[in-house]
This record gives sequence, structure tokens and C-alpha cells, in this order.
Amino acid sequence: MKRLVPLLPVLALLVLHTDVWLWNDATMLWGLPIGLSYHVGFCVAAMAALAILVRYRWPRELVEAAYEGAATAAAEPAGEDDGRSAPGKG
Amino acid sequence: MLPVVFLYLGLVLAIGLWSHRMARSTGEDFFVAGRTIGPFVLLMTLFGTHMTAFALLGASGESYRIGIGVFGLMASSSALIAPTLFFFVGMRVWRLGKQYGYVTQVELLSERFQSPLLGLCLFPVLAVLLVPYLLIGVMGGGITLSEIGGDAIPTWVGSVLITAVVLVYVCFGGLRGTAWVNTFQTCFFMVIGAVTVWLIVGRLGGLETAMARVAESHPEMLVRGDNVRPLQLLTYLLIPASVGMFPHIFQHWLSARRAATFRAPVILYPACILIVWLPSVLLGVFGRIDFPDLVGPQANSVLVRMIALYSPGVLGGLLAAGVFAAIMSSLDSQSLALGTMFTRDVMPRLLGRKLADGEQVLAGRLFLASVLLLTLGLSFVVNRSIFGLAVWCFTGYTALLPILIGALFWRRATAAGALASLATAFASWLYFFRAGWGKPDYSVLGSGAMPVAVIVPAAALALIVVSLLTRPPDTAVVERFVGDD
Repeated sequence: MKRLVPLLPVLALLVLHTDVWLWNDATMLWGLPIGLSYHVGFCVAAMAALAILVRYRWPRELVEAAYEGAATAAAEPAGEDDGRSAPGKG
Repeated sequence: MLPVVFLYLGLVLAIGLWSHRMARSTGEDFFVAGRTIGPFVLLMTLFGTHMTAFALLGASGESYRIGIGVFGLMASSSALIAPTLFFFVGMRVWRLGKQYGYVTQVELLSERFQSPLLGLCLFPVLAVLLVPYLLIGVMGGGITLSEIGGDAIPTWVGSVLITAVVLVYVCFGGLRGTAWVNTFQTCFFMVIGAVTVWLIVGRLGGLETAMARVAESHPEMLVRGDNVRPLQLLTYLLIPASVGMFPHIFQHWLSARRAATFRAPVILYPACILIVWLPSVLLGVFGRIDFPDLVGPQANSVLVRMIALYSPGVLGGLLAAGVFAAIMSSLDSQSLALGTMFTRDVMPRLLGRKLADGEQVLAGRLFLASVLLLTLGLSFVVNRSIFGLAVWCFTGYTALLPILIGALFWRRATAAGALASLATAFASWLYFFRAGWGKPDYSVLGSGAMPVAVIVPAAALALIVVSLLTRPPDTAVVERFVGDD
């Protein structure tokens, strides 16, 4: 259940995407028609929801598995990927 | 204008050729850049690959036609769906590639389902869906240069130019060259889009004045009204899910250096969408002020007409270069993906053995050169109606997504289930394609729902039912793919 909580903002945004309540509203907000500014705000909210996903639902087990018997293991560190190591070039 | 375009193409070539100095002659280096791509390059290359010329020209044309609703339909839906798929599907695919050396979807899915037959059936579908996409890019380059040059330049000139440049830097640089060039090109078309809207809106008297002028003459452009239907907006959420099955996006996922590389692309993707799509939609809507009577395909040239009216000269050249950037940043990855699939999925079957590293690189170069030249040849004989295929390609790729989701998340998914899902997706796609081809506003039973809303559940249902009716797959194999997370 705890693993599902970080998913809730993404699920909520899926529901909120179809903004029928603003369909014919011509009010202006931030210099844009509200139907457009809502979806601009939606993009910003999507960034926040995805940041929550990355922060609280980071798949550590998956990352560790990548280094077990990896085809390119020779060039890679073992263990959790915390973003500090910099193998290879890019 | 032309010197600006040539200068830009020269820069692109230089970056592509420079990346060749970093290359090693191995298949893994050529096809997935040795799995060494960092976060910024991954973000830019994923975004540049995903966004075609449609984001610049098509979006403004569509906004001219139906107003602000385009942003919700195509942009904000992608802003949520695409990065969510990167997180849940892309990272898993990356892990499997890292661990077991997969380079193509066919390799991964054939092994997960222990079914060469599935790979055999999947390959032509993935390849055929990619061809119209390539054609759109090559033809788009020609049309853009011709329109910006005032029809003084024949369309074949732009098509040949774009094909030649992509051919050289992809052949030399492989995925590493593609990723680096894409990073440059994506930054370029993002900046050009923002500068263009800033200049034009300024000359229209500012944002509020421009909006007031549209509200006065075409108020229906500023609401969804009858231009977009709620069910259409809801079901459009499935269209960007096609990124989960794009062969070129798949290949870029595999190029990530490590799992943490995905953090920036996942979080910042919506910002990139906003930067590119908002200017395109605004300019399309503002086009109604000066060009109120464009009909049919003329609407797609609204951006070019606005530039010609408000900022001709250098900005016109920069815009042409920006459109070229958007086209090439997709065309390169798509042609490389097709070349990779031929080399990795078809050649070993034909030869009856695996190719050595040097052979893979050579075959990859030959195939992608053949693919690009064939596309160029086709672009001379195919008519513009091919552009209408884009949304059908997206629908086709989304229809295949249940197979990948089942492979990665459902232990009980079987080869028979995957084959049934593929057959159902193909049959239902064909049915709706025959019913809806040539009808831009087609929806299921006139309800507003996109065909994808029927095709995907049907494909998923076939996967579930047939999997449950057939013998469970080998546990040891499944554990490698599904895992605990």
C-alpha cells in the first residue's frame, strides 16, 4: 500500500486532464484563455507528480539487479545506483 | 535564408562527425552508444526523437483549425504519459538491456516469451509502422524549405538535403552521434520556437492585445466548445502511450549510462513539452488575426506565413533550420532503429549465425543507408496524404503496448497470449483504419472516442484471456523479466 501512495498524484492528474468544467469558459488567466492556462498548469503539476514518483518510488531493487551479471559489468560498480559513480563516458 | 540553413546543416554534420572520434567499432557502441549516455543528453535526445516537425508546423496548423484545445489533446497528455512510461517501462527495459545485452524489442520479447515466432511476427509490424514516419520526415523537409523559400526551391531539394545530412552523421556516429546531434538540434528548435513567439506576439501588440483581437473575430478559438469533444480529450490520453513501443525510443532507453540517468528526463519532460508546444499553439491561434481564410492543408503553413509577415529574412532562415532540426532529430533515430532491427533481428536468421562486432557495424550502416535512400525514393512518388498516417502509426504502436507491459509486469503472460494480442491489435487497427482513413474527424460510432480506446482494451483482453487459457511460462525465465518491484 505504501508503494502506491507516490502514484496517487499521477493517477489524480489522469482524472483531472479532461477538464469538462472549463469547456466553454472564456475567462482569461495569466494572459491566456483559462482552458489553455489550465493545461499549462497541468504540465507544471505533472513535473511535481513525476518528481514525487522519482523521489519516493525509485526502484532500488531494479537498479541493483542491473549490476548483477551485467553484460558490461567490467566497467560498472556493483550495488545501489546513487548517481555518484561515473563509469564509462558520455 | 538559404545561407542560414546551410550553416546550420554544416554545424550538425560537424557534431555528428566529431562524435565519430569517440566511437569504438563494436555493435553495442554503434547501436546503443556503449550504454554511456548521461542525463542531459538522454533528456534532449528522447524529447527531440519524440517531437517531429509536427510539433512546430502541425501543431500550429491544427491550432489554427480548432483553437486552444490542441494543447490539451496533444501536449499536456504527452507531458504526463510519456515520462510516466519512461519511469515504469523505460527503466525496466534499460535494466534488462544492461543485464542481458538486448538492443531491440524483438530480442527482448522473443526471449521473455521464449517464442521466435513472436519475434518473427512482431518485426514486420514494428518496421512497417515506422516507414510512414520516415516518409513524413523526408517529405516534411522538402515541403518546409519550398514553402519558406516561396516555392522557388523545388521540394526535392529539401528532401535530398535532409536525407544526405542524416545519412552521413548517423552512419559515422551511430547512436552516439545521433544523441549528440539531437541534443544540439533539440536545444535549437526549443530556442527558435520561444524567440519566434516572443517576436511575433510583440509585433501583434503584446499577449493581451493579440488575445483580445482573436476574441473579437474568432471567439470559438479560445474555448474547446464544439471543436474538441470531451470523449476525444479523454481517449487522446492513450495516443502518447505509443512512446512505450517506438523502436527508436526503446533504443535510446538502452543507451542510458545508469538508472539515475532517467531522473532528469522523467521530471523535466513536461517542461520541454511546454516550451515547444505553447508557442506553436499560440502562433496557430494568432494566425487567425492576419490569415482568417486558410483552408485544408493551407493551415499547416500558418507559422511560415506569420514569419514571412512579421519577421522575414534571418528569422525565416532560422525557422527553416528549426524545422529541419525537429525533423532530423526524429529521422536519424528512426532510421537507425530500423537499421538496428534489420541487423540484429533479421540478419542472424538469414545467415544462421550471430554477426561479429565489425560485421554488425557494417551491416547497420548499410541497412540504415538503404532505408534512408529508399525513403527518399518513395518520397518522390508518394503524395501528401501520407501525413494523415501519423496518428494511425501512433495508434498502432500504442496497440502493441499491452504485450510489453505484460512481458514486464505480469508473470502469467504467455507467448500464445502475446501472439493473440498482436493479432487482435492488427485486426482491429486494420478495421478502424479502413473505416477512418481520409476522415480527419473520424471517431468510434461518432462518439468522439479515438479508435485507440477500443483497440488497446481489445489487445489487452486477448493477452489476458489467452494467457490464462494456456500453460504458464517457465518460472526461471519469467523471474528475469518481471522481478520484484
